[in-house]
Amino acid sequence: MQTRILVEEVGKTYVKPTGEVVHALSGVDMTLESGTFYSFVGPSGCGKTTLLHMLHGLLSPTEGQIFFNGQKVTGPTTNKALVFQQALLLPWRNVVDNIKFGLENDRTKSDEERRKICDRYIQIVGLRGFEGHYPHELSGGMQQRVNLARALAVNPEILLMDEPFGSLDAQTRQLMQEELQRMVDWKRSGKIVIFVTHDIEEAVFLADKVFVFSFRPGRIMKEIDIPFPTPRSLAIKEDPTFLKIKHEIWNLLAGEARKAMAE
Amino acid sequence: MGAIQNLYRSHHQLTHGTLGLLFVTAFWHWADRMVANESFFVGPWKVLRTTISLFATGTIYPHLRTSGWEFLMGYGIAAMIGISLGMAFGMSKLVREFLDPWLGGLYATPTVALAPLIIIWFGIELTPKIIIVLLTAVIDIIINTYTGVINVGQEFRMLGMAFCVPKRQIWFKILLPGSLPYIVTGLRLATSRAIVGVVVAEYFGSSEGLGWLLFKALDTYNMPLMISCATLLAGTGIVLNQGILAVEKIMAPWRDTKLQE
Repeated sequence: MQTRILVEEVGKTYVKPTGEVVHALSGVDMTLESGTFYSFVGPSGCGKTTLLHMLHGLLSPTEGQIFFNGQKVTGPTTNKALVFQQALLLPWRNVVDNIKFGLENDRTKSDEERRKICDRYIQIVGLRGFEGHYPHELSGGMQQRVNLARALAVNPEILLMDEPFGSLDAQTRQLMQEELQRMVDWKRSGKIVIFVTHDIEEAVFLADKVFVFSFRPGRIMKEIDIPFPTPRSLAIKEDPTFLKIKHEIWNLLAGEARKAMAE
Repeated sequence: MGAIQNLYRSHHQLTHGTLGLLFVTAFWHWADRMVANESFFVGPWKVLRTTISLFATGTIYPHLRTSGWEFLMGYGIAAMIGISLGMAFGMSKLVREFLDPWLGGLYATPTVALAPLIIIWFGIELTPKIIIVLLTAVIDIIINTYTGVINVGQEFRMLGMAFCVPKRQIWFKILLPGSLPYIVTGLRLATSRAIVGVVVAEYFGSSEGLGWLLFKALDTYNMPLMISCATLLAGTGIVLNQGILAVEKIMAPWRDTKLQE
C-alpha cells in the first residue's frame, strides 16, 4: 500500500512562560508520498521544527489535523523516527548501544535480530571499528552518523530529520549531504523523508521536493519540485538549473529572513 | 629518569595528594619540636607510635567493629533512602515544592542538637546510632540525586518519548544512568558526613567505638590517643572517598575524565 501523510489546515499557537502568545504555524496543507525526500526550508522561527514534531506526534496541532495512512496522528509511534539537531546520544552508551536504543522497544525482535540490525547500520553509516566507542570520543560528524543510524535501525516508514548537519563544519557537512542519500536510500525502501534546514543549498541538493516556509506564523510560500535524478553528486551544485532554483528560493526568503532578524 | 616521569604523569593526583599530606605532617613535626610540651601538643611520631600499639595490642579492633557497623548500617540505609527520595524529588515538582524547606532546614540542623532526642526515643543500643548516622548522611544524597535527575535534561526525556520508551523504562534507561555522576558525588560527600555522624552518635550514651574512644581520651587528657583516633577517622574518610571515585571510574567509563579534573 502506498503510504502517505496528509496535513490539513494545520496551525500551532502556544503561550510562552512570559505570557506572550506565539503563532508558530498557520494554515499548512500538504500531501507527502512514500519514496520521496522533502525539505522544509525557511528562516529561523518559521515553525518548521514545530511542524516536524507535530508530524512525529511529539506535539499536537492547535488547529487542523495530520493523518498518516488515513489514521490521525495522536502521538509518537514506532513507524516514525526522529533524527535530532543535537545528536542527543546517551553518554553512558557506546555506539552500538546507542544505535540499539530505539530497537529495544520493539518487542517482536529477538536480541540476536537486534544485534544483526545494529551491525548492518553500523556498516551503512560507516562506523565500522567504532562500535565500542563512547560519544565523547567521537567527532561531531560521527555523532550524527550514530544519531541517523539509531533512527534508521527501527526501520521507520517516516524519517524526520531536524537540521542534523547544522552543527557540522562546512566540509563535513558537504560530504554528509552526499553520503546521506546512500545511507537513507528512500527510493528503494519507500520511506517518506522530511529534512528540516535553513540552508537553501542543502534543501535543494537533497530533496525531491522543497517546501519554502515564511516567517512566523509559518506558511508554505511555495512548493518546488527539484528535477535532478537521485542520487546526486556535489557537482550539481554548480549546475545552472540548480543555481536558478537556489536563487528563486533566496528571493522568496530574503524578506522573511529580514523579518526574523528584526525580532 | 623517563620511567619516573611517566609514573609521575600517570599518577600525578596520587603523588600530589601524598606530597600534600607529607608536607603538612612535616610542618606538624616541626611545630611539635618548637613547642616541646607533651601535655599541650603532640607530634606525628608519637601519634604514629600510639596508633601502631593500638593495633598491636588489639585494643582498637572492638572499637573499629562497633563504629564500622554503625557506619555501614547508617550509611547503607541512607544511600537507599537518599537515592529513592532524590529520584522522587527530581521527578515530581509537587514533592519538591512541599519538602524543599524541610530539606534545607534539616541540612542546616546540627546533628548534635538532634542526637539527645533520638537517644531518648530509641535508647542507647545500635538503633539510635544508625538513625543519627542516617540523618547526617542522607541529605547530601537526596540533594545531589535530585539535582542529577533535574540535570538529565528535557532533551533526553524527549528522546525517550520520541522512540516510544515506556514511562517506567525511562527511569532505568535515562534518568538513573544520567544522574549517576551526581549520585556518586552525593555518596562521596555523605561518607564524610556519616563519619561525623558516628562520632556524634557515640558521644551520647555508648561504651565502645572510635568516637567513644576519642571522647574518653579527651576526658582522661590522653592527647596522643585522642589525635590517634582523629587521624584514624580522617584516614577512613580519605580512603572511602578515593574508593568511591575508583568504583565510579570502573562503573562509568563513559565519563570524560578530563571533566572530572
